[in-house]
Amino acid sequence: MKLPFDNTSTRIRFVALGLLGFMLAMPFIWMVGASFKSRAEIEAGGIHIVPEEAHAENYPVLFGQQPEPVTGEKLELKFGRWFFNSIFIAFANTLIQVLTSALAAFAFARLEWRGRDSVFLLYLATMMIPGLTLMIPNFQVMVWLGFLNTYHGLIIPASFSAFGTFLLRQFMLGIPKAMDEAAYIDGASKWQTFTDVILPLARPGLIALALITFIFQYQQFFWPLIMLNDQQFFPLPVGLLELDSTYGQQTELIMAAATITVTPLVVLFVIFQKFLVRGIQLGGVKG
Amino acid sequence: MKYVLLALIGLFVAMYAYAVSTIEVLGDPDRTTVVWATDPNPARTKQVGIFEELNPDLEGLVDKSDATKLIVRCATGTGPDVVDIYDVFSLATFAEAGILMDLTPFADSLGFGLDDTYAPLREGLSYEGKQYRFPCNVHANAIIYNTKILDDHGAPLPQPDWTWEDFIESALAVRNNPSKSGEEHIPFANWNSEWVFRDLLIGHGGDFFTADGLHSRLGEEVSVQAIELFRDMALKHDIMPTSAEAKSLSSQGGWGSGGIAWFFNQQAAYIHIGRWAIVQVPVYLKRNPDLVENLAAVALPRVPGHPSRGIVGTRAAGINAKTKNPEAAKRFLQYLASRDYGALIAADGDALPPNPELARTGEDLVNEHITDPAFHQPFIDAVDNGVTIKMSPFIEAQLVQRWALEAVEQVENGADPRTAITRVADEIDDRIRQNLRRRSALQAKYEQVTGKAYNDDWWKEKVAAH
Repeated sequence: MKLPFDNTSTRIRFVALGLLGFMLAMPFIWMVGASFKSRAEIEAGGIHIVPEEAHAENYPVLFGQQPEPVTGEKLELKFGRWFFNSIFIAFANTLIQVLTSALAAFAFARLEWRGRDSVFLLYLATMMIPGLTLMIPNFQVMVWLGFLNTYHGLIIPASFSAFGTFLLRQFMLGIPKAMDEAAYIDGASKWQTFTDVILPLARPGLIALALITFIFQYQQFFWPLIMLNDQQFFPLPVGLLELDSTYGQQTELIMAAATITVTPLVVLFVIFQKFLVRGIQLGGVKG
Repeated sequence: MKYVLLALIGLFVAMYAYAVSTIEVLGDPDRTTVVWATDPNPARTKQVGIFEELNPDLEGLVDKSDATKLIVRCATGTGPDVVDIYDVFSLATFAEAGILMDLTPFADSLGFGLDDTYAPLREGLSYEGKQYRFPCNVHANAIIYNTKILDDHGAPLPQPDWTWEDFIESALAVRNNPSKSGEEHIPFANWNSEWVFRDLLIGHGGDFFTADGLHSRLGEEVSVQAIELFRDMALKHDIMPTSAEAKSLSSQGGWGSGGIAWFFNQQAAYIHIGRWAIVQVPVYLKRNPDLVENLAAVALPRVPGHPSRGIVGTRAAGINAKTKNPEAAKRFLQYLASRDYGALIAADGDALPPNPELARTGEDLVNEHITDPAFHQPFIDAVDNGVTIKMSPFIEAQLVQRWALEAVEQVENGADPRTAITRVADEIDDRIRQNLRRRSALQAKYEQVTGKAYNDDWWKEKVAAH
């Protein structure tokens, strides 16, 4: 039987990639290790990863269930709420964006109407505008709508996506036209064709878009930072900034918070990596 | 597929209902709210608490905004009522952007005018002759040192009227002499290279700009000497970590971290800092019960031929020009000038109170943790003898700050100090000329400052003189 390490060049490649992988993983490994260290151990310095003595209490301290051991006071933070907010906002954005993108993609890929391709190109062109240049006008609109310090201000602007529409359109273009025609012959309406024929066939594309959107929205930082002042609406990335600026000396707590923050993404990636890779290939975007 | 979709929509509705139903309504509808954008120092909560006690009809809310967010919010009329401005660079930026309210017409009559605080600070509260802010606290740097560490290494203790040479000699002893305890210590916990350089610049008799603001003074010989001394301490004598070394040595960030943590954990002998640092002392006492008895403070070392002198600075509050509660915001500034607020600052150790009557001698600043008046006195002297950095209306303040910081970092990385600092001076001078050529408002200002008609070759006169 031929083993993967049979020839020298493969072995060298494995070692090189292993080293590279280790280097990339190192900060994450250190982060998890540091989240179980005591303050004294972190301040003592050194590069050891495994804590001398595991301090799991850093996690309950973060959620305000225990006082912080050095000062004896509970943190004035809402970490549990931030975690919920992150999941809720990312989930809401994902659900709405996938729905709106699927509808738009169906219109652009499966329906014939005058000016369709021109409208699609125009829609696609919005992807070329750097997001930061739209920050102030978008913010001003949110001010007019009274959406500062609300969930709406984080969810509604992210409900429509040219990228999502493009990705699903590409996917739907790959579904044979004969499927729609068969449905129409059987008496299905356009809506029924969309919900009963196209959507089930586009499932891998929908999952890929959902994953990409969730990951992107979960990591959103600047927009929530600008939109929110009230701690109770913060998602985790803004919460981490709050934690760092208020309790920046408590490295072990910051590392525990960072570990909790990345965990949902790691879990998602492990479970759905096949779909994610497919989505990235389809959309031609970097992860 | 339909059922999955329905289940997801159901989950969304449930999460939305939970999210909305558990929102706590902030603010008391019966009171006017004053939102104060300040730093994340936990002491702010107590300070706001006393403001509310003294003003029962007002509610104070602390907003820990960063600068970018603040500018966006203020520009769109949704900013806080009161905004902390940390230095003269930011003051110039905010004032020019029209974000701050001019306090001049009413500040004196309401008790927070320029005469209500320290004389050396007054220039730093104004921009182009208008007062835009009033201090929340006042700081000038001195040297805090750890007597136990100096004794451990047999290093000479600082003396009043000491020079930078004396300082280096003592710090070198910490670095070179084996300690009796067997422990190694950092001689000088440099937590902010830019601040060290600025104080060295002022201590050498230098500044950023000439009095008319038309030329940079960073190319002068005194500026070169200042940055060379900075280089010597960081690289030649190796008594203070550079910014990069400090970052790599420290796994910490945020408020009160890095060099400050080393010093208060008794890992470093000296630190160059303001009195505000001692607000941190209670945090470190638990692990360092003998910390307070080992701490002492002394004025900044002086340069031969010059007095001990550094920059006097302030975290000072201005009023958002678009505030919806201008009267409440003014009452907040009155609170900052009050004895109640000043007493709190003195007791907490959060720098010096805005009202100089509350900081006449070290006795006035004795607090629960540091009871020796001699510790506090150097900080009062530093404010009394300090100067405010001179700004120029002819160039963007943040640009000057960024270039100066870049020069300091280049020197820390081995660049020639003279080349680095004179290049910044040249860049500043070039920019001033460009700005004057392009903006008629600045040309009018030029004519006002010099009493001469503007022409594009105005600067050649000075170059020819050189």
